[in-house]
Amino acid sequence: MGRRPLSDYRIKTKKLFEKDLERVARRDSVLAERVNRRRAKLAVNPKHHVYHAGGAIRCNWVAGVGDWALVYEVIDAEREVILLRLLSLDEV
Amino acid sequence: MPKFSEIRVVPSPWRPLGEEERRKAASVAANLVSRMDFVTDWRLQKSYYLAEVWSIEERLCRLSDVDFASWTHGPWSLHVREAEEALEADGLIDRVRQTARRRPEAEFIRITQRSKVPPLGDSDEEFLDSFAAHIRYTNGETLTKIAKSTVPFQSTKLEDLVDLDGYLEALRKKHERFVRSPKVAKLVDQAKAE
Repeated sequence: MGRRPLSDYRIKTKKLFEKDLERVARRDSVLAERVNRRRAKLAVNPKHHVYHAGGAIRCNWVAGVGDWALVYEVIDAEREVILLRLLSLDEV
Repeated sequence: MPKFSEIRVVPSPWRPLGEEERRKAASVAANLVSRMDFVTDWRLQKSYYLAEVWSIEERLCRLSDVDFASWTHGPWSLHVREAEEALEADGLIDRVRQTARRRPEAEFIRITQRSKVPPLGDSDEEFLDSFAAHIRYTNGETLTKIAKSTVPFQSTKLEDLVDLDGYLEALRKKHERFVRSPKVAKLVDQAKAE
């Protein structure tokens, strides 16, 4: 539809993120699909429909999915997104 | 037979939408129909509801101001029904009877002129592109199951209106607590240290 930026970001994932996702997928396949869709969207634009956390997890980006949050870093110079954790919003 | 003075008029739970809210609802409905195949009234209702909930959960904002009620067969909205009727009156959608998967035939809604689908703006359209790609091939039964399993539907009594604005507010607060949490910071640091 002509709204895609010229270049995408490379997505890297930490092992703990993969473990978090596996745990979610075992319980809720729809949510796991949504996380994967969100992950694909982050590769296109990691700063759209998300927010920059200003609290204890400063300098990280947060994208909501359901009652969960993807916490990640964006390295613009390398056009890279590093997925750190997928945590329940109730995990506070 | 009761006397006229004894008859009580129960107020409608549906608040009337303003002109702009009605236009937005019609635009969202048209954009949803244009992005999906084999849309019945049922699928439009359930997919509109899910789009609202996922917009709240993923963007922390509403897609439109329509209300939904909790019915036995899942969420249903008079506002979405009215939006559909307005689109039909404007000639932007029509209905066709075709063979269906689980019935001999069903009535499907289709866009008559794609070029006349009202624009929603890049942000909403991008969200609906991604949303529709996810649910495009999900049948009505599964959509209903997913819609019924959402937090706002689960927390609503049968026949009450689903408090989507309240859900948005509650999620915003959860995110505020989440980013302030030392426990979350520690879990994130563990991943960084890998």
